[in-house]
Amino acid sequence: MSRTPCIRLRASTRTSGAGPALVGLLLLLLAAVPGRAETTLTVFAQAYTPEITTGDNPRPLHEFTRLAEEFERLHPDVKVRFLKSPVGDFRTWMRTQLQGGMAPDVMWAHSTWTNEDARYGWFVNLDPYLEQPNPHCAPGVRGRARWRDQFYSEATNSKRAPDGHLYSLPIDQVETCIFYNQDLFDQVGAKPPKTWGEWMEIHRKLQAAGIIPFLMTGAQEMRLTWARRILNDQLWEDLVPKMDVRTTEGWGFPGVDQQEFIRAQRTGIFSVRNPRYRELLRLLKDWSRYWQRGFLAAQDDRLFRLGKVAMWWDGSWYTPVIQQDPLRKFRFGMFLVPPLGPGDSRYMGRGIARGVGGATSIQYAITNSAVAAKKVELAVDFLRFITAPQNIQPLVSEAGLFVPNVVGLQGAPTLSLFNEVLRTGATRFNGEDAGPRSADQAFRTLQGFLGGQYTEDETLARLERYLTVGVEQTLRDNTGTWQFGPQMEVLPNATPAPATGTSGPSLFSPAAILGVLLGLVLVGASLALLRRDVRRARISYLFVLPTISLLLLFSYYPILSALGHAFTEWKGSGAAIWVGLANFQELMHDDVFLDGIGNTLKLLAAHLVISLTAPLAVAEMIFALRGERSQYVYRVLFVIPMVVPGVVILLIWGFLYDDNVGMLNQVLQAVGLGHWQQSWLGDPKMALYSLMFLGFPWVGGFALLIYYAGLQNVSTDVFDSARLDGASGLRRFRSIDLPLLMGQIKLLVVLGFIGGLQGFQTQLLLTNGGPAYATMVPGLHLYQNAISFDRMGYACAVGVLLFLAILGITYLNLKYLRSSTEHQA
Amino acid sequence: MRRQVVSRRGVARDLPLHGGLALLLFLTFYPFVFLVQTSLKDNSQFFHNFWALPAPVEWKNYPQAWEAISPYIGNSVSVTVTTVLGTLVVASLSAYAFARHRFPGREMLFYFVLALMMVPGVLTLVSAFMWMKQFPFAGGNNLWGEGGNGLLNSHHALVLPYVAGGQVFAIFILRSFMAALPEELFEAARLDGASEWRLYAQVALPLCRPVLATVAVMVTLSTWNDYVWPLVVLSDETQKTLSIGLAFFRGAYQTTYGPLMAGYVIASLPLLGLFLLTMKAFIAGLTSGALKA
Repeated sequence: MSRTPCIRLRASTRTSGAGPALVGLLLLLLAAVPGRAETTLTVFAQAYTPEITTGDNPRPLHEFTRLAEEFERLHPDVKVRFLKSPVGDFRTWMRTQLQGGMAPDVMWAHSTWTNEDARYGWFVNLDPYLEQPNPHCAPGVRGRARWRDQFYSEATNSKRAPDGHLYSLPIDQVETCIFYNQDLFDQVGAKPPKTWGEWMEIHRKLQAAGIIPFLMTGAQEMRLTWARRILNDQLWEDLVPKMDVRTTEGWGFPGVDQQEFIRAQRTGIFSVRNPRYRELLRLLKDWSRYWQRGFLAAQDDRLFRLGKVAMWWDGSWYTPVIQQDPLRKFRFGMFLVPPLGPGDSRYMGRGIARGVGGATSIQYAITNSAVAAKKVELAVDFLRFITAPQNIQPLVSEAGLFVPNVVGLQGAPTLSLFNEVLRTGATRFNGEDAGPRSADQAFRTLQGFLGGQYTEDETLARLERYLTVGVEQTLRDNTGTWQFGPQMEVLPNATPAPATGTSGPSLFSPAAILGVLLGLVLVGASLALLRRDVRRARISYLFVLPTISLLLLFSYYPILSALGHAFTEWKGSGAAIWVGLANFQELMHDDVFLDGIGNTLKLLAAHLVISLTAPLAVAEMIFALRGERSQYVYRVLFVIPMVVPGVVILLIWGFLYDDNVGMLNQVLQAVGLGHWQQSWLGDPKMALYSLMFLGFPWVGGFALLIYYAGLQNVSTDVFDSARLDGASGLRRFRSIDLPLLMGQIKLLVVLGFIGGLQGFQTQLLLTNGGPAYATMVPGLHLYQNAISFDRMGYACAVGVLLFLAILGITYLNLKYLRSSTEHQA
Repeated sequence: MRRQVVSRRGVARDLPLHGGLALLLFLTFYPFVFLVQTSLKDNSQFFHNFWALPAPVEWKNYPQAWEAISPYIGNSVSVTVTTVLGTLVVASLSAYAFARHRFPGREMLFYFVLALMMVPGVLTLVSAFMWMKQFPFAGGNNLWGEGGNGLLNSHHALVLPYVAGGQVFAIFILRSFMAALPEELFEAARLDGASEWRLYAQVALPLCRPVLATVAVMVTLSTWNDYVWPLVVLSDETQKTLSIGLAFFRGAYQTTYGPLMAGYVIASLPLLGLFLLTMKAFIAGLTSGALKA
């Protein structure tokens, strides 16, 4: 366990003892004397980051520290530094860091992102390196001769980018299974099923015994997507050879990649109108009868933990979680999702259910930072070192979340069930594959279908429409990379551009900004010289000067950039293509956007009424109290809840609204109003109203303080004379307080409009805008386009419309909502 | 003299008010109670006994949360204090001009400022980041923004955009309150020969104490809790802020709620102190004396 001098120094300075620090300093000097240039390799290891407590690893891991120290011994002038970064908003973090050339040299990045970003030259193509030997493998071990032989080729190759290359190396694999409550299974005499039919029979028996058979999290895309993938893979099995046409000797993936799917769709091999699609919908609908009430709003495994549901579908990472739950009162078991059997469907495959996980968990990519600092070879050696069997085995096993993506190794003993799926491999045909937006649309359509909102025909019509657009978009995105023959044959891809340094923003540059700023200063100066009234008011300009300069320097460039990009097709990075008003034309036909406007107006109206009145009532009540002291105490107490983060409040409301164990439904049951019970967030007709009610009793701290400050400004004389006139209670409120508070009301109305038209946090965390589009608002639509769909230009267009709407409303508000007290200078 | 002397009968008359307020307070306050009680649970308790009191009490969540956020508290305090002070100074100056002065282009400038509030932040994030990176003459950059990392990795990259963006909201509120002040006060001071600076500092500002306190609270909250912007502009461990430390409890696969809530509680303590202080700014009668002058 010997540590390198530098690490010892860092450890000792933290403990701040003088002695160790001195020793450390000496060691540092010793290390520095030879004058070797030291290279630091920065690594973001995500779930394997050592020496840190995270949600994924409540107990810190150490294995990567050990491996890094060993690696440093092999490269005496190299230091490995693990970057600590949370995974929340990771995509945004990743995009900015890569664009700015600030990313770590080696970073965790999901292949869907690296494959998207490879077009900007942000990642190193790993293929040439994978063809070379891995010297860290012992002689005779797979990989010694050729690095890539170490990995499960099917799982690894399915992560290739549209250009056919591998940009992120999956070091482990993840798989899913059904976790079941053995006690409930015993009650109905059920055993883990062998076929889909047997499985459905178990569902039926459980339901007949009054047990909720299956917990589905229908508010999220993940599990419904798993279900579609696992079924599609079997239903379309016989057509896969027709779709999987690419042959790339040894590097191919025995399944349908995106380009192959697009070809299959374009040539009619795949169609939403194929009877197999109706069969998929039928199987899902039949199964959904056994899901818990209100499944379209569910987000977590709570019902399973509480023993109220018999089955829960989750990934290998769930094993330690459920195993180590001290309050679990039942025995649990695990089985893999069973395949369709002979009597289950006309289209059953070969009787194998492949996995839906695969190499989708921890994948490492080498970034443009490593390229710029000439550290690619070093980074490659690091990846080779950690993937050598003797190293990857302990690294992956320590965390106990996944199994290594290296042939012949096993994961932690608790995950032995998953070794079977490693052999069968992951699904080869997943269904529609036309980009993130199309996937989101398909998910929401399915929500609408399963929730009874859309008929089967309407569902298919929607799916077909969305898919056509998604395919066109995907083809546009990959022009120049994908090559098709005259009959849509898949041809070998164009060679990709090698990874380069950074790429700046496309429309505006600092030079342009400086020019604009200079111009504005010149205009101001000449105005001052030419106009006497401007010169006379120079003191006023001095007052606003700091504000205006700060805005010009720090705010206007990003905003102008956003406004400008509304007229382009832009993915948030790379080139922006000028498209004129095309984004706005599309918006006019975007039913998601148009429906969203209706929802947001309803929410806004409710929100304005509620948020204006409730705090006013409380402010008046506090103000009416006799005694400074009690007023102060109430003020403080009502303001304290403002420190509670919004996510906590939404967590509470999510639990209140829960269908099966939520307080609201339980109270209704207890007082004999069981028939009033609702699926508060899962019913599309109810969800919007539930969002309106959320936050009861709506005493917002900010509005309360504003009203209170306003009441305080009302002269005591006015109150005194009112009292002498005998005005009290409501009459005084109507005739004195209300007119005098118009300034505050106007303020809150304007701020309420601004916040209300942009807001989407509640939807984002609680309903995801669903079920289907029931609670979608333009703010969330904008956010999804910007962050999830990589349609920044379109998002900017939504932003511009919102901007104009808010500006117009604010102007009208300020113009026509006159307050009696305002001083009109 | 209103409200200063409280008679026994007065208190009795207030009883219905106290009753109503207590009920509303209980409902409003509950999230805070929930936060504290959940901060003492482990994940198992969180899922099994969502509403119940913690049993057993997991005190160890607090040391764990402290370990995660303590390196960053100093940074958050310094960034927040600078941002709040900067915002209050800059915003009150221009709010005063917008409210009490008449000058060419006033309306236009005001809307120019106000328009800033109306562009969703998610659209501006990437370009704002690149602008920080390419800021001229900072962090080794030349005039054209090349050569270094600009303002990135320094607290300037937080404070300057925070003040620039946060002042808009502050100006809007302050302007409204300053516009409502009676003109006679300013006239009287002008007759006494007070300069514009004195009118601002000695007449307008003291009268706006309650609303300045409100603005300070709002700016503190948004600065203190901001996550995405510090996440992208700071990569150096020694510069990061508290919300980043808290985010580690939310993993890709699991969230450890107990330590996360404990972290929220610890992070809220300085804010509670601030509330106690600022709520004193709302002292009744403060304005009445001045208004009678």
